[in-house]
Formats: sequence, structure tokens, C-alpha cells
Amino acid sequence: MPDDLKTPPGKGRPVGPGGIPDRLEGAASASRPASPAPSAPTASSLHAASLAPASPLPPAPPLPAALESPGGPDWRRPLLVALLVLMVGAALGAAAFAAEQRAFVWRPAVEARASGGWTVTGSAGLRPSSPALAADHLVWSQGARTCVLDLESGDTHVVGAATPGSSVWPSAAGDRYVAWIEVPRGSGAGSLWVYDLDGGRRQRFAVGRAAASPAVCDDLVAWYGRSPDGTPRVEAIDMRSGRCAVLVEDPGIEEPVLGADGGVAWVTRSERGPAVVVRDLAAQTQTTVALAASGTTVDELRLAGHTLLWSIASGSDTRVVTFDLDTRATSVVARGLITAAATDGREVIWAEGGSPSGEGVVRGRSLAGGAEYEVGVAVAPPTSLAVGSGWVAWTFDDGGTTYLETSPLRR
Amino acid sequence: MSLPTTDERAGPVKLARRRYVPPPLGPFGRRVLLTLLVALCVLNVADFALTRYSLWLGFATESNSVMDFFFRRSDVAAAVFKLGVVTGGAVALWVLRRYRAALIGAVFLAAVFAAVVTYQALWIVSL
Repeated sequence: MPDDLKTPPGKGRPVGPGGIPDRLEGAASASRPASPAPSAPTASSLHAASLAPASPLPPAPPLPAALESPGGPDWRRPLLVALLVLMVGAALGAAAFAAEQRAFVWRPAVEARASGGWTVTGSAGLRPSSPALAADHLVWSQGARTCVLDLESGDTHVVGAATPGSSVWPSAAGDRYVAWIEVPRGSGAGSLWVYDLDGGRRQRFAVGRAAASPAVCDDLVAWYGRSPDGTPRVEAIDMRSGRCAVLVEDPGIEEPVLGADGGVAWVTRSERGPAVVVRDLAAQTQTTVALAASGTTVDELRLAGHTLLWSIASGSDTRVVTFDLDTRATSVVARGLITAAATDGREVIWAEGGSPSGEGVVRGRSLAGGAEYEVGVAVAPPTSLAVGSGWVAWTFDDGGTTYLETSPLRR
Repeated sequence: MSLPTTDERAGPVKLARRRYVPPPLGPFGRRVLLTLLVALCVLNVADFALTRYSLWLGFATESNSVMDFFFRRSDVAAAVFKLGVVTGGAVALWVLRRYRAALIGAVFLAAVFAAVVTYQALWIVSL
């Protein structure tokens, strides 16, 4: 310890164990019975006493400098003062953080629903996009921002904020990863953003300007892109190894790319009509599924598990069709004025409109069989749907405002 | 009779100009200074760790161009630079401990670092 931090001489007294002073002032003189009446010892008398050969107490050895005061220098007050300084600084930092959060940080308007689930209310220019559900999380884009809602706790995180003017492809969600693509206005490469739901980490990968339609399949994130000569292709990155690969390059590839359990799928268009090619990445096999005859409108294309779902509209009549990749069986699950449909590989959910009150009804049916059931009622017919992790989410427009609602899947 | 302008023994008479000299830092102030400098070094390490973690999370960018330069080279280079500069500054303040300004500087720096670290910690928690 530096000398200038020691207690000045004369301010303390050496203390032994138990707080008993090692040496009492005047002890030497007190041991002499012939000593005259007590009086204030002078420096010379003390010096003489310490040199007296007949003294019963041996002269005390010189004490270490650090022990010149009881317990060493008093550090409590300096520590308190320093702590006070640090606390003032910490309070300023916390106040700045709170002020910034209030003034500049945007958060989506999320409210709990009385019937369970959550409602996200869009605001001017910030309409919630088509939702995605995975691993107890709801993911959606709102304007340039990508948001994640924990369906159990209601905690919301804005995981992506694109630069103004950028176009953002609606996010795709898997069991662990959420992905979205941001393409800036003007020149410049696009960015593939991947958010890890487990670790809370966000990574950015440079992709081409034509990048679109991200899809998540286990640890693989795939997207639609183009080769340098403009040929459409499906590219993917393995999030575990960080390795990028071109899965397929073919002039017939159309958007979108779909995520599947253990594989990816993409849409192709031929003279016979639209078809979906599903590639099993483990087995390296491909399955081509013809969706409909040429000239037919195919919508709501979804792939989950080993089930491919799409809807075919014909006038006001819409059919929701599923295809089992294992059994290659096709079945019509629902029919009517259907405005949206989705599947998670176990359940098929669809939204029906056309009721006299103008409401939309969300219904479901298990792919394993059984009767259809009602999931919920929306103020207006939903325009998009998602199902997964035991939850259903849908968006609808009402009075110029877009709402995104979630509901637990109750059969 | 003219007034004498010189002192024959001491030379020209100089008019004394009073200048305020602050009292040197006492033992108490030096203990506060030492505590604050130690806290400053600890907070600097925390600041570096939180900054590195924020960058790893992908939600932050280094706005300090000098630190950004070192972070782009390597984490070790950034750590050596950041820890070296602040530790050197702390040592310099300790060497200048007889001046009251050293304590004022340490108070300011420790408070700023405490504010920055608190802000960063809250920000990471809010992600």
C-alpha cells in the first residue's frame, strides 16, 4: 500500500487480537512503583522509560507501517463515496435507457385477448404481414420491422429493423430459426437475416438482390435467388456449419420456396400447370406434385411435415387440397368461401367468410381424421392464417386497421 | 525625497501576486481516488465484454471508429487497446494523485463508465 494512503502517525493505536491494544501508553512508567504521581508523560520521560534496563516489559519491536492505525486505514468512507459516484452514474445510464426506450424505440401494440391468445393492432403504414408460428413464438413483419412474440409470456421483441425504403420479405419460422430477407432500395445486395430463437442471436448474410421467399427447415435456411446469369435457383445456408450451397438451379423455378421437415420445396411451372418439387435433403430424392390443371389459380401453398397444402379457387367456390408425400394421397379437406388456409402437418386450418354478419370463422380438422371444429371467430374474414405449436394466428382488416390475432388450438 | 525602488540587499522589490493553490489531496481523497480507479478498470472490462457480446448478438454496431477498427482486426487487438488505454489513463491519474483534478477526473470517468455499462446491460436484457 502506498505510504500516502496510511493513517497519519499519532491518529491510531496498535490493536491486538480482540481489539486489545498491544501496548498501552504509559505502561512502562506505570510498572514502576516508585514513579511519582501520574502526570502527562513528556517525550523525554517516555524515551528514558523505554531505555530503562530495569523495565519489566521489553521494548516493543517497531510495528509494520500498515498497522499504525487500528485495523489499518479506514476504507469504509472512501468505498461509500466511490459507491455513491458509481450509483449516480448507473442511475444516469438507466434514466437514459428508459428515456430512449420511451421516445425512440418502437414496440408493436400487443394486447391479451379475453379468450386467450394475443391481438396485435396495426397502425398507419404498419400493417402486420402474414404470420408464422413456430416453437411457441409468433413471427410477423410490420412495416420494415420484424417482430417475435412469445406466445406464453406475451414478451415482444423487435428482432429486425430494415433501413427505410427497403423491401422486407415476410419472415419464415422454424423450430429454432426465424429468417427474413431485406432488399434495399436502389443498388446494393440484399441481406438474409436469421434470428436464433434459442440464443437470441441475429446473423446477417449477404444475398443477391433477387433474393426472396425465405424458408426454414431445421437448421437449413433456404431462399429463392438467381445465378449471375439470371437463372432462378434455390440457395441455402446451414446454420450449424455456416456453409452455403445452391440446392438447385433451373429456369423453371418460381417462387416461393417452402420449408419442409428434412427438405425444401419450390414451385415450378410447366405447360401442364403449376407443380411443386419437394426435395428430401437427407435421402437426396425429389418428388414432383402437380397442383392443378393449367389455367387454374393456385393459392395458399403450404408445406409442413410431409403434407403439402394448397387451395384452388373457382368462382366463389374454393377447395382446400392436401397431398401426403408418403402415401401420395390427395384429399379435399374443406370447400366453400375460404379466404385462407394453413397446415402444420397435423392439423389443417382454414378461414371461412360469407356470413351475414360479415364475420370470419376459423375452422380446423385433424389430418388423422375426425370432424371439423371451430377455432375462433374474427370480426372480418381472415386474409392470412398460420398454425403451429398448438396455436393459430390470423390477420384481418377492419375499418382500415389490420389486426393480427392468435388463439390456442382447441379441438 | 524619492521612494526607494530597490532593496539594496534583495534586489528589485516584487509585488506579490496571490494565486489560489488548491490544497493537495489528503489521504481520504486518495483512497477515494484509488477506489474509483479500480472500479474504472473493472467497469472497463465489463464495457468491453458487453460490447463484444452485443456485437456477437448481431444487434449492435461499434460506433466508435477507433474501436471498430480494432474489432475488425481481432478481439485480442480490441481488448489490448481498450484495456491498455483505460488502464494507462488510470495509472496516469494515480501518478497525478497530488492534484485535486485527478480525483475530479476519476469521479467523472467512473460515473460515465457506470452509466455506459448500466445502459448496455439494460439494453441487452431488453433484447
